[in-house]
Amino acid sequence: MRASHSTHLEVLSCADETESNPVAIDAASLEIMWNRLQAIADEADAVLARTAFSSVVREAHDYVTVLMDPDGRALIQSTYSIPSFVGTMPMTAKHVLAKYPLETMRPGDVFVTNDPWLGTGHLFDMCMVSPIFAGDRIVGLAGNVAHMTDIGGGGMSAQAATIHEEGLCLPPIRLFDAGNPNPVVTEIIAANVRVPQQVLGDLEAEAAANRTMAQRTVEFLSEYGLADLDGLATEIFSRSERAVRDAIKKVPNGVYRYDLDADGFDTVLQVRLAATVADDAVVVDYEGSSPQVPRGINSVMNYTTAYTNYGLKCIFDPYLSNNDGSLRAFTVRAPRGSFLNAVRPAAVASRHTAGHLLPTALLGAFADVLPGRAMAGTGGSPLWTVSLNGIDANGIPFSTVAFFAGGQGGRSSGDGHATLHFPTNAASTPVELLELQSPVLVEEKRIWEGSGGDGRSRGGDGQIVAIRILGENPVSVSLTSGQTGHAARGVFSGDHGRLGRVIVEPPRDFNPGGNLVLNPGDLLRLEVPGGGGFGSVIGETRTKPSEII
Amino acid sequence: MREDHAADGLLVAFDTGGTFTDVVALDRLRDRAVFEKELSTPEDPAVAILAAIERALGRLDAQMSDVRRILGATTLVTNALIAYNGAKTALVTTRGFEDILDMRREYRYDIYDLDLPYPEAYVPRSARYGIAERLDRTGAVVTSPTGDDRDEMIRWLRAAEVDSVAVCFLHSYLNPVHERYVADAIAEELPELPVTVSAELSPEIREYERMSTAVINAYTQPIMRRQVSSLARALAEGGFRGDLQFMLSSGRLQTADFIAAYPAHGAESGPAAGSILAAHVARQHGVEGVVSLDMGGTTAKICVMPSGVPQITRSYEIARAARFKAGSGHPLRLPSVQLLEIGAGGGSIASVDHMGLLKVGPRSAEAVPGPASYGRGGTEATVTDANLVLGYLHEDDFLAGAMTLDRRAAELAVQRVSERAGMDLVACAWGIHEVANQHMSRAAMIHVAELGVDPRAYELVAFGGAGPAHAWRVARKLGIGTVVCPPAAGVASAIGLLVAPSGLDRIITRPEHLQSIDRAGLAAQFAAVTEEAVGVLARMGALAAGSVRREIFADMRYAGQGHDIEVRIPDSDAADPDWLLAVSTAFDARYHELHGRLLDGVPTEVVGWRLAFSAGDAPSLTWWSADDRAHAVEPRTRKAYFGDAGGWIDTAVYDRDTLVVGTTLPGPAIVVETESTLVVPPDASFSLDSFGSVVLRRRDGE
Repeated sequence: MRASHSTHLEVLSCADETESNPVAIDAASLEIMWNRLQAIADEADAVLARTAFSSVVREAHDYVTVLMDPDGRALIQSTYSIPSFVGTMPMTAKHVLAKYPLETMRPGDVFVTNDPWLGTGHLFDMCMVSPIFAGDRIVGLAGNVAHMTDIGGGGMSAQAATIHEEGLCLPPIRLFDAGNPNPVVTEIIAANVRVPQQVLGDLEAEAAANRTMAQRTVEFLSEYGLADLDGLATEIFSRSERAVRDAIKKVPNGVYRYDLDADGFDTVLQVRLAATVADDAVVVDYEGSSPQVPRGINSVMNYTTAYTNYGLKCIFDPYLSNNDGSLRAFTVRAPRGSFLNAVRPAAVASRHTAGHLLPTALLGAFADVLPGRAMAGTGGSPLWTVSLNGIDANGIPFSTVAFFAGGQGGRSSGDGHATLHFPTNAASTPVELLELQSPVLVEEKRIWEGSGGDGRSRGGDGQIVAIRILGENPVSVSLTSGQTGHAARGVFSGDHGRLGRVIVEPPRDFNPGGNLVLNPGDLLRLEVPGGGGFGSVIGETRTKPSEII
Repeated sequence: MREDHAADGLLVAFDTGGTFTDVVALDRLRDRAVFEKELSTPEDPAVAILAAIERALGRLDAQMSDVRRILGATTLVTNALIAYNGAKTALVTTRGFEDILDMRREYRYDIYDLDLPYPEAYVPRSARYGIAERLDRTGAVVTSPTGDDRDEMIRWLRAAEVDSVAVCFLHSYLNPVHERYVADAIAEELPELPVTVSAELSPEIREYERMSTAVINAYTQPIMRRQVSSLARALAEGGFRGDLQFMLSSGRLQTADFIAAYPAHGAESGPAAGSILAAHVARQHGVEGVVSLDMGGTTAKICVMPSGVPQITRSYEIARAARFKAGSGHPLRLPSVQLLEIGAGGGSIASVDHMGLLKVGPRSAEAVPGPASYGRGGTEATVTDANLVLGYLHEDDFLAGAMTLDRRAAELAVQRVSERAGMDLVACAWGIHEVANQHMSRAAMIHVAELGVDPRAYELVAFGGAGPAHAWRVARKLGIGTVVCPPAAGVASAIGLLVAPSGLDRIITRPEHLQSIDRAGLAAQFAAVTEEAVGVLARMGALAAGSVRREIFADMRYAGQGHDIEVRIPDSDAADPDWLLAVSTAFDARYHELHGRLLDGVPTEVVGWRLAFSAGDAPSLTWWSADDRAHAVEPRTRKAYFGDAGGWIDTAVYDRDTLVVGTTLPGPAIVVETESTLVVPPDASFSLDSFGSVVLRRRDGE
């Protein structure tokens, strides 16, 4: 007690001498410093939003900022974040470190990659890593991931058969070399994308976010008289790991399974999940899931792991922010060559068609043992997206992506909310902005009443959106969607949600997860379905097993 | 500057809070002020206001007919929004978009907790009407509502039996023609029904946010209108013949008619007035940069003011379903003093989470049951309890003896937390105090960083019941070396009203590339808006005291960026060819200040303009100068704990009204006054200035 008290005093005061490794940090100091790290990640997040050019970043918030230790282990991420990016960023950082070891990095270096197998699973997300120098020593890594409006290639849909059709792929490279922008990279990007100004502007915004994160981290260390983040990181990791392992211990050992069939592009995707709880650890194995397919709906291992860890965290540790320690009790396996661990040259543009299934499958697997944490399937999951590309009436190229949420699944605590994303967490683009950025008129955007499944807790309703093409030129449309063949499932005898539909007028043949060209006057109508219900509405509701956590 | 002191000879300000109504009456001719507090009367706030004013005037030997101006702030708008007891309200919107109010922005504000609550819309689905109308992205008419549509809507509104209606159509921020058409129809057919037109209230892009703003206004308008007219009537019956004005969230005063029509503009009126007082107090020391800290029972409100005036935000949230979680409330897109609201107050509860971390707030013991030491049934340890354990508060002199504290109960409550945290009692109390300080300093620090300013030369002005006990350590974390505690910490908002300017903002939405701006057209629009605004200010009687000041702000960005930055631009003639260069230079400077980099070859654009008009010079509040104060009195002594200065230290305790102007005393010290307790840590010294504020500064050599 005495010892921890004195450490506490040193840490709370602005100690002058540098303390490289505080032994044990007391409850108050740790809370204070942890909050500061959160503030650093959130400030970098705000910088990214404020300086970004594309609506997918600034309106839909399809990005994350992550502060990592020098080994690429996550300490904290922005409060409002995208679950998959939270999970993949540290993996990407480790790939960057493998190619550019710490000792080769210089102040002002910024590394970037969008390689799906090293990054987030598709080419649209630019993953950026910068060393944080305190003096001549690297004390951490600033990272962020942001979704680019366009990356060349065939657009954000499942249309392609291989990665090579999907756009420009940058292996980990220096975007800034000791603070100097790399003009070759800029030229290459500009030559490959439809809207260079948006993409290059967003890359600038990402770099600005990393600069802010680095600067604030250094200020933080100096304020607390710390030479590095190591002692703090150790404390954060170990406490988080312990909290998660304690929660797992309350679940009986055993194998928890869930089978989920979902829409592929022109096939059915089978998720076969077996989660083995052994004391204080969980191993999730996807053995038996469908093989990879020659369409852009395959998930790479990074992405599969990220969404599995996310689902586990919602189940075992929903009230704390994420870090490396939160995930140490989890192991994820998927057979190489399956659609959940696809190998090059698999097409992956619409990889969320696979990945978004996983948290739902996990919630299903643990529903019986942890009904308080259970949630029926969410409507409109995998995420529905519409990308519009073309040339406007003034001859200027446009490119915009918008997201449309279905209804949240019912929960033990109450009905699902209408139009709320899960598991991803993008925001909608306001109709007024969508129309400003592309020659369309949205004729309606309303809640699709009754599209959520009935139940003791109802599934939230999805939405109906009708988009009329205006202007004089045809518009290339890329779609991703889900649940047009397999509805969001109810849980505990709750009803399933409705099936979704994508309708085009005048009618023609197209795939709701593919590309098509619409002409001025044509109408695109999305019926994004609601979520599943929770519990039976009639007769005796299922007896609730006693709440374990 | 001021020509006619007598014109404002007797001023009265009131601040209607949920619990108390504060009144300050200021007799400028005799340099005398009195404060009164009265329990609020929510059913008719005028009752409490009038009672308190009459008592205050009685103490000044004055009559209601002597009062020149009465200035008000109120939390009633906010309270109605939080309690969901506003008017029965309808929404008329573009057909096909009736659900936007429920669909919100479709994201989760917490990514791991799937049980996250969202607030109910203020207008149920059954009270929304979609009319066939449409504008395109340029504001051009695509579909006009027909006469039949109009009549059908009127029939529906009649049947709906609502007390208020909001009108919000897509792209109306560019062209209000259809909203105006509908509003006129309602005015003609249902003249008693108040109408809120979104384009008049908040002409800004993003339909959900604009709709939410219009609905919030409509929902609170009948209440506010009733209360304003009841107050005006009661005051008139009492003999009042002067101007009645209200504070807006933006920190400016406006007519009673304005606030009755646009109550949503007053949602943050109390805190806005508090921050204006803080700026005023700092200005008395010749200091421009200010951080105000208003720490009460449940929350702390912080306002960072780099140039002595509050920053104005145009986007905030109200009535959050999950306390303090951004994204869980109703968006409001109106000018407001940029306030950071933090769940750290005297009543914030300390706990240890399952990771062993010491947490403070956001849960609060509120007034009931209150901190454990209040002895009203609270058992959980709060910040107040920790401050009692640390010796900052004391059972003998809390609230000047108006209330006794139960020390044993506080110790037991903190003890329970300390055991779970693995700390000893005092270390835990100190930890609670520091975690609360850190919540406040962290929020301020983020904001300071966003503003791109250096606060080291600022003053931190602290008020509210708990502010002065925490101010010094919050200031130090921000690098600020001076803390000012003005007198009457509990009625700061009411005092702030007395020093606030009259004024208004006008928004012009007009997206254009900088290089292709129609300068002549813009200059003409500026002139028209200015003429209108000056007219309004003249009708408020605000011009008597001085001329109107105009400031022009441009919302600018690189073409294609989504977020704009507000750039203050020189107020020269927009028709002048050099003007463009000045605007462009101002943008570059501000962007570089914020982001450390400019983008080459990307054109800049202006999204809109904000013209801020203010008039009337604030009186300088020298009236509480302490020359009639008591002589110096020997302090008593008690032990207080300073975790960063060696632990328990003998600490001098002064009653504030015994302090003598000009004498500098060393910390550690505690200064007790009726509504708050000021803590002067060992690394500070303090003195009473000639304006009645206690000023803390770093001790020499530290």
